[in-house]
Amino acid sequence: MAATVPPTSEAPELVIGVVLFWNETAELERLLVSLEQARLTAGSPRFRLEFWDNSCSPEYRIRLETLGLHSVSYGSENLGFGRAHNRLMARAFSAPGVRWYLCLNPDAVVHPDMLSELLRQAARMNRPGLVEAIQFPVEHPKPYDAVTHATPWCSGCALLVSRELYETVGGYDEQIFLYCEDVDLSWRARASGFDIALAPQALIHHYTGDRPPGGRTRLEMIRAGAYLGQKWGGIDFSVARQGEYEALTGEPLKLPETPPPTEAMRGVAEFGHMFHFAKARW
Amino acid sequence: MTAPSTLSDRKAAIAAQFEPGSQVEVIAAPSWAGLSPSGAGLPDMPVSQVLALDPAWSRSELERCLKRFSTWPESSRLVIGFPNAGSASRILQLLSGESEMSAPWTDLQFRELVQANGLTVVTRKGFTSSDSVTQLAGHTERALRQLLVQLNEATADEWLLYQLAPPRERPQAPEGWVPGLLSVVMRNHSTSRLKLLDHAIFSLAAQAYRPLEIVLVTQSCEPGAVDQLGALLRRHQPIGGYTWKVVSEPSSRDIRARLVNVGFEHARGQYVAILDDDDVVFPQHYQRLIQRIRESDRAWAFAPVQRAYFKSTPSGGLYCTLRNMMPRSDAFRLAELAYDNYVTCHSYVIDRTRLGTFRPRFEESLDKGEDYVMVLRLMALFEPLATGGVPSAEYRIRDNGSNTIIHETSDGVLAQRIKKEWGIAIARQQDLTRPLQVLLTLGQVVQEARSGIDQADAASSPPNALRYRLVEVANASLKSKLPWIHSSLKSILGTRLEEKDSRDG
Repeated sequence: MAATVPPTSEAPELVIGVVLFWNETAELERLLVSLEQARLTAGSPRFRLEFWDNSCSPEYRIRLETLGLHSVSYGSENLGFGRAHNRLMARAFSAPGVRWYLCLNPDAVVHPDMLSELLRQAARMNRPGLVEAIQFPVEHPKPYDAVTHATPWCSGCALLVSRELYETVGGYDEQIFLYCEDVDLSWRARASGFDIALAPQALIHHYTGDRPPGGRTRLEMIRAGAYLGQKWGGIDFSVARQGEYEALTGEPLKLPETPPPTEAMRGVAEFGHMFHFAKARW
Repeated sequence: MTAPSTLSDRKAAIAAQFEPGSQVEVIAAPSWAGLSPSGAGLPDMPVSQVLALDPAWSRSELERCLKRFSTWPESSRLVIGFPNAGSASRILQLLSGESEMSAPWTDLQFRELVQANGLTVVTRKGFTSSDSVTQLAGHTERALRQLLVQLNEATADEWLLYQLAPPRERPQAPEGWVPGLLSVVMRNHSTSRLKLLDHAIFSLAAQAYRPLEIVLVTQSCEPGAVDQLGALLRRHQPIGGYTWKVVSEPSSRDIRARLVNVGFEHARGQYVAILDDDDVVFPQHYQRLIQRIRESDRAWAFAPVQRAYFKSTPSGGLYCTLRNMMPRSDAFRLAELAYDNYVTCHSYVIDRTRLGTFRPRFEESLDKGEDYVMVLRLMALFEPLATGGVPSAEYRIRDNGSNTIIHETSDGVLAQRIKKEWGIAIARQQDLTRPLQVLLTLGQVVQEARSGIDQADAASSPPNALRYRLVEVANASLKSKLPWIHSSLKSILGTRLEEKDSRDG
């Protein structure tokens, strides 16, 4: 069994939230070992781990208990990515000493320096809202400033959220089940005057290049894109995604009502580059 | 060295190997007549060198003699000279029915005996011969000899001389490679590259394939370098679950080829791969390659690679500006690989159990393209398997001149120097690889040629397509050299060539 990361008695400044959905045990063991290595690394912040299990299965629950995971919350339904993280985020920031929440994907591996580098980047920012770890071995092609590391939006794979951001703009938009909720949170952060950035020295190993595209994955992506377009004034983008959805399922896509986007929102949204949501570097 | 033809020549050749004034006792010549099969002929009080020539004993007889020698004091030396039964000349003579097996030992058999008795090889000298030995046409014999030498370098030696020393420790059975183990050989030149190396090791730690061994060979002369490198490997070990070792091969000059060869020697795995300290592999890379090797009868496989270009940032970081696929790395095409290297050193895995006596080695006389020479030597005898599909490794290119290739460096002097060095290296590469014989069926040649012609046709307008140009050249050549055949063909093919001839004047 992998080394697990028990909660510490000292009040942590960081809570790491992991949302689970039928993840392989070996994958989780590797994540835990990598977090333990990060904990042992000089400069890493004190942290506590919280899990939310979206699998809703007694069988999977036994697996997690066998693994010795601490602090797992079990939902009665699959809440999706954003809502589950919101539950964990709310709990994390209810403790006064917690300054940061880290959304962390369960299929990732943390570099030993990642946590300290995320905080180092946050310390360089005027009003830190979000800081994402750079994905490794292949980073996302969206751009970032080579000096300040500011970026149009942050991926939720390993995303540091500041208390101030949470208290000002809230967590993820719960209308989104999966995908694009990180883009939405990033744009809300920028529209509210927060800095968001990528930390190029904070490595998170997360590789999806060899995964076959799944039908359900694609539908969720299209649905989220259509909603994002409607909410942020990318009407053409939204209509195109709704058309795709209908072509694939034979049914029209029903989207929840959203208020018209404000000027500040329109100022940060970018729909000219499909799902990259920014001009890609390659 | 050319093989001495007479016994006195051999003695002279052997004597030349020793320090002047060495005491050499020839105890058996030309056929160990003075020695009994039990080794009783060996002197009771060892002299510094004992020389034996042309052993004509059976394996068990020689084994007894070597066993006796293994009990002598450490300073003793035994020199044995013998004709190599596995030389290219003897193999070809045997295959062409021109002689019977006249020598009892191949180089490999002799070395196995030496190893089995725990003896140390102090010196090994090979004597070659370029004389034609069969009735075969000269170029055919040369080509066959070349093929044999590529498969086993010792076939070049007609006659061999071994200087042996007794074992320092008790003989140990030779260890084979660990089945299923993948050894990744990494090379490091300096501790200034620790950040790059850290990323490379992190990518190994996340590999899906297990069991994994990392052999990191460093030429760094800096104090504490081995400890620093060990600390990096130790740091990621809990994630990767690999075993590791750091091997120090200090040198002030660039010995990048030697580092890999030393790594191969230390590697325990059935499978070997190479990862430079500034490149990375994706999680499924080795699993995919080894699975494909296991499913096939090939000795090695390579995967497509992508290139990533980095610019230095003001804070000393690296900013990726571009990623793209390494051209042609999705398939094996002999002609293109012979033209330039698209099989980067971290793109492949070799199964050493399928190479026979061939030992993969980087070319130590080169510090640029040293891997390419090995790839060509390997490819000549062992056709690789190309996995195709998506890239599973990344070749990282920086703009600060720290790669061996030139990429957008603003330092003109540096760029000029690297360019000049590459020119010299390429000339040397070509000298080394031009004589290589390649195992290829005619069917493969035709397939590759057709593919090349189709590509050329597709890229050209129809009148200038390669196939038309080839027809034109053939037609003109036929007309000038063999006009009577040209006329016959014209009458058969009808008007088309006539029209063409009249058009061309």
